[in-house]
Amino acid sequence: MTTLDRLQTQLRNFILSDQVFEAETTLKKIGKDAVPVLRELIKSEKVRVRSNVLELAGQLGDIESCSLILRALDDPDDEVRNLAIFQINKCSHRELIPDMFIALERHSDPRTRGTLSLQLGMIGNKDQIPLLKKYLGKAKDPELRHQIGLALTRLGDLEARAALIQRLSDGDSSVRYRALQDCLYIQDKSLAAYFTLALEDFRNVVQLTIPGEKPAVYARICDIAVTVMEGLGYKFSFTAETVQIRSGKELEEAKKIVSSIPRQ
Amino acid sequence: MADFKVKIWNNERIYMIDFGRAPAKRHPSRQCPDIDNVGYVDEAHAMEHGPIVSARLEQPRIDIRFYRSEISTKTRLYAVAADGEQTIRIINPPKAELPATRESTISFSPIKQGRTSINIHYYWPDGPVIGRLYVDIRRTININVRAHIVSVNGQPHGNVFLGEAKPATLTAAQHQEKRIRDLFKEANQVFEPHGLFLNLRDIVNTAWTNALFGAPPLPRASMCSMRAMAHSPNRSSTRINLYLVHGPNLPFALNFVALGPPIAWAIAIGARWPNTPAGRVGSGIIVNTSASPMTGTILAHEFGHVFSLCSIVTAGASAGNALQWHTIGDTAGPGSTHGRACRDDIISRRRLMYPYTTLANSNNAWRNNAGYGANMGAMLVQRRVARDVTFEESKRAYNFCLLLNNLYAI
Repeated sequence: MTTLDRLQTQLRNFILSDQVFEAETTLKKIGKDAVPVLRELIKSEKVRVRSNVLELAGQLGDIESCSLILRALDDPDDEVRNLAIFQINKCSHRELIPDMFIALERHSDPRTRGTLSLQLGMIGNKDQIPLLKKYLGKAKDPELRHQIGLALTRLGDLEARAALIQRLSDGDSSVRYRALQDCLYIQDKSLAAYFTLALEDFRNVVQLTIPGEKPAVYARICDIAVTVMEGLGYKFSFTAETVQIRSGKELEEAKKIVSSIPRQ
Repeated sequence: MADFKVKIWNNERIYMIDFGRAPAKRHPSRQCPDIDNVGYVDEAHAMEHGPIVSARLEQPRIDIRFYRSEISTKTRLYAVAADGEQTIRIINPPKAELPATRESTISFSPIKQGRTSINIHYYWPDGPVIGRLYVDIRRTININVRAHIVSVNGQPHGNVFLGEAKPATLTAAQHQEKRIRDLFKEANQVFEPHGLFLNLRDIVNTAWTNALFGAPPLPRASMCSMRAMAHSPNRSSTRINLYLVHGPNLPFALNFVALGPPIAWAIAIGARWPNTPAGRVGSGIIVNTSASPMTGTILAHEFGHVFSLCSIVTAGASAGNALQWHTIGDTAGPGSTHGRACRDDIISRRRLMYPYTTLANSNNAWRNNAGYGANMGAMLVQRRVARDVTFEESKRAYNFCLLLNNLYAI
């Protein structure tokens, strides 16, 4: 028995006996050579075994493992299916795009479609815009429409981008707040050009303190905008990694950056 | 029919009987769950007026206390499953007739997922219904948890671990594992009746160093802890990570016993490193193992936070889009920003998301025993009342876990 055979047997035993932490360690040692074991055990009748396989497939993240994740969207068990949806964001290979569209067609529930759309937005390109638009046309669930819209924006659809820019200027604090958060998904630095109003918005939106901690401290929209800018890759003379109450000086620095970004 | 001499007004509903938690040692258990009898309005089920209890399908037996509050012991009363024993089977009383005592126990076992009621019939098994206990039977959702026994800078845990000193008969590792498993058993007593099972999948040894907490400018112990949780070795992305740390080993003072930041809130406050969707979120639960007392209810409370029982994120409320609160005492809670009163009363003290573990030293001594000795309760409210967003905890927690969205680590 070779070392690989021994490790594969070990992995199989760990998965079957529900020792996932130990299985993770073995997985790190053998990498893609774990795929045959995962492929075999995903057919198990035991829900727990199939769940374990999916957990490990997500960690491995290669094309074959991701195919297992996409196929598990059809699993008869809710828990396994949920885990598969949760792991869709591990599918980062462009070769999987056709399979993801097949899954999008097969699964009409908004959560699966939304998650698939967001992942397609992450790994796709402009070629995927027309197909995604087709699903946007069909979608009735507001959250699903929002998610497909985000995917389209990230892929470069101008109409969807214009809608996001409009939301950044919305008078409703919750709409503006969410639009700022959405910019982190889009990861387009040029969107910060439209943060002017947000940086002048002092309305409270996020409670920073944990329950019971007094006094309760709230972050304002302007504070969120600064942190989102940091997430988009802008550098400040201060640390903006986490949301904090920004001083007037810090906000001015952010505004200065924003005013220098050309609007597209 | 001596009990029916009083004329009942058209718009009045008189409750001649009542239901309560069956006797239990201290906290509700899976066999003796808490009954939600907070008011009699449920906007999710407008036609239902009465107390409610939930249970998970796999439970063999659930005991409920039955009270003849305003009806004599001479009256014959019958406990009958409303749908003809399709959803639940009544085990006790075996022939449906309730004993001629002020208090007795009704026991039932779930048969299938669904909603029904135990109807109390007057005088005959098919006589008029004078009261109901609604019953919601749920399929179990397993929630996967990985517990990390964390050493900080190589420093071990203390002799007292999760509220109990190590007995001489056990090694430190054996004691730690036993305490963790004991706490999970207790925490599951709280969640199982709601259809949720905390599945402790693994216990691992994890090493933290000061570097994980971030640079000193991070202002709060909570943020430093969340940063360490996000960066922790052995962190599972498909489980809730529970980090057990010995507080005195940390390079800063912990101002909490335990903390369970929900993912959506952690994202909202920027507790994501790097601050992009691909970044790791400071989610999970951190528990100070040197704190005493430490109970399964405290652990269950933190899981309640992870299940987003106490937070609104982008709810569209003008005064706050990402809020965290407890059932009382938080200036940021719905009691203030949403114009609702969060009183420190018998009801709030019964709820799992009450912020204090002991009532012994409270200023309102007459409310110290809300049915659990001097301890907080563990009730998850069943009813929906739109004017109080903190309600409907049981179903919200269940649906939250059902979808897995924002449940496990990102």
